[in-house]
Amino acid sequence: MNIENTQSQMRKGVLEYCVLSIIKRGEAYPGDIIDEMKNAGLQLLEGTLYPLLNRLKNAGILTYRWVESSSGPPRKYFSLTKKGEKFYDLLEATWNELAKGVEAVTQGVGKEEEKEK
Amino acid sequence: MKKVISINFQGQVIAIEETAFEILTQYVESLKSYFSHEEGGDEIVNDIENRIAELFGNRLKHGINCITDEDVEAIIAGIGKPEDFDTEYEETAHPGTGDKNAQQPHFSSELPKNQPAEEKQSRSLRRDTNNKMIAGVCSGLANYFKIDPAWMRLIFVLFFSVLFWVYVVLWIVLKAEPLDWNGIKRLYRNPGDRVLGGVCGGLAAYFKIDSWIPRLIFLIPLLLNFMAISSFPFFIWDKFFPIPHADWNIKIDGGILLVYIILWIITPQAKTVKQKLEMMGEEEYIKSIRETVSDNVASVKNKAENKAENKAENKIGNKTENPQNVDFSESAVNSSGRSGCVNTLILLIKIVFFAAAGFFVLILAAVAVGLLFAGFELMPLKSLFIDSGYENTLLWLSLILVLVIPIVAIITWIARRMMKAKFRPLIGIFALILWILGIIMAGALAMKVGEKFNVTGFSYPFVQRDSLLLLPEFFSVPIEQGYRNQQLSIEITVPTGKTVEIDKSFNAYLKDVPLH
Repeated sequence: MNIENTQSQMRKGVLEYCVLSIIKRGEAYPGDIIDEMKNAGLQLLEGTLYPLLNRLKNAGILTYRWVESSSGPPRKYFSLTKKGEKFYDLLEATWNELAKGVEAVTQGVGKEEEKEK
Repeated sequence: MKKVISINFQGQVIAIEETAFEILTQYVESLKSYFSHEEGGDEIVNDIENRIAELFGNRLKHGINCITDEDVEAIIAGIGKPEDFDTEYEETAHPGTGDKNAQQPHFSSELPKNQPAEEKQSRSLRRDTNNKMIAGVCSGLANYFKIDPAWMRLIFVLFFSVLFWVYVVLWIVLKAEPLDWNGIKRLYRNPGDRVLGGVCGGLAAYFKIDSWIPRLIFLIPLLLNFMAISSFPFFIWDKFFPIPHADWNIKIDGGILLVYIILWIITPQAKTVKQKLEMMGEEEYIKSIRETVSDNVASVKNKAENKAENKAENKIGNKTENPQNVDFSESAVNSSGRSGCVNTLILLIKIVFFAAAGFFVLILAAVAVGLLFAGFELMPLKSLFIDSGYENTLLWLSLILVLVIPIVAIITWIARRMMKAKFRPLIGIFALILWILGIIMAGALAMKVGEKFNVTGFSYPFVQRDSLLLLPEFFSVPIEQGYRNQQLSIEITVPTGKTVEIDKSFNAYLKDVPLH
């Protein structure tokens, strides 16, 4: 069992949720998303983000518009569609369940250890 | 010191070091081939290119004069190389959509497309319309057994008499389906490395060897045979190592030619990025596009210009509406849409053409060589036309120049194409000048010889006795003029009213005598 593999899978699971929540807060272009993720301490490669956005767009979860940019080519600003908002709500619900559950379980481990002591 | 070029990248003018540009192009190529698997892959690559252009713009704004290797490498590290997001993409794509599907069936638009396709690929036997040559039977079988369709076709061609009916039956029985290839390496004809049909290049890519090796294997029997046919002593060592007999050669030779032609017919040409990927194997291909740095500066510039244009067009297309991978789907339509029958027909025409052309060239070469050596055989006659001394030298010089230069040129041309060596124009021009010189010499010599046919100083001793005119049967020419089929016409003027009697022995000479 490779630790790096497990770690990256953990990160991957929440990637879509994170990206969608950034977009939900307001229109965002990939550069913003990358920066925001980095600032939060989550490493994300453009090479991973772009295909992800493309898939979400093709699935009708995201839509985009072109915005002219002073610093280069026009940018794609992404936003959630109605379908995307529903999708996000479901992800959010799942995440909350998951977070609670994981917390309860992992803290349970901690408690058991305490009890043993 | 590095050369800086300025490129039009996604509509931006960017000053970039040439080496950095090479790295960038190869990176973009690797992305293209990587995302060619994915729906909308072109769009993703285009987006990433836009991002790179923006990052370039940012850097240039900070007062840097041009983009360096380090800049490009830093950006690539930020975006990630295909091998960095290789696993990520594969894993997020499938289990991700699978989970989504479990929760929200209506969200998973990808699933119905992907999953059944995979099942079909592995489970049932279909005719494959994507990779078909005639009806896609071989390709479908190959897909079913997970082998390269080229080998399946080879089996069908080799056992044509038995398998013909199998083919027909399968054609009728099996359902047609556009199958995706399952990633096994395939034999393609390599358009990027070809002399004739790209068969050798494809074989080289398939077996991961240099392309001159299969070429030599195909060529050696041909050359040996050619040497044997002409049966002239080409080299001194010919006597020590006798060239095997022609009959034996023709067999091998015909066989190897047939193998080439069969391979030509049964293997498709690798046209799209995806096909090239399958030809070389994924890792090899990405490696090769990253590693190979073309040393031809001019072609790099051309490429850059073309690419910039393409990008500009792409971008316009993306702006107006959102075309989903226009290029990709178009190429897919092209490869699957063309009729296998027409394709084979074109191939047959090609083969006939090349065979005829090859045959013609061979004959021409043989005739040239033959003439050259026949020249030696005709030595005794030569002395009748050519005087010894400077004319003789002229003859040999012009003969060698006119005949040998083209032969050498053809051989070097073939060698150059095989070895991919560079053309050296200076030598070419020099050879051309020599050849023209040879032609001029030959012309001068011909005129010289032609002049000799005006006979002067001949003697024709006729005798007149009273009313009897005796004409001798022969006339003599000076010995130094030699025999050149000289002819003599005799004009006899007779006063009007007189009659002339001509002896019967003159009948042979009286063919078109104008009587007046």
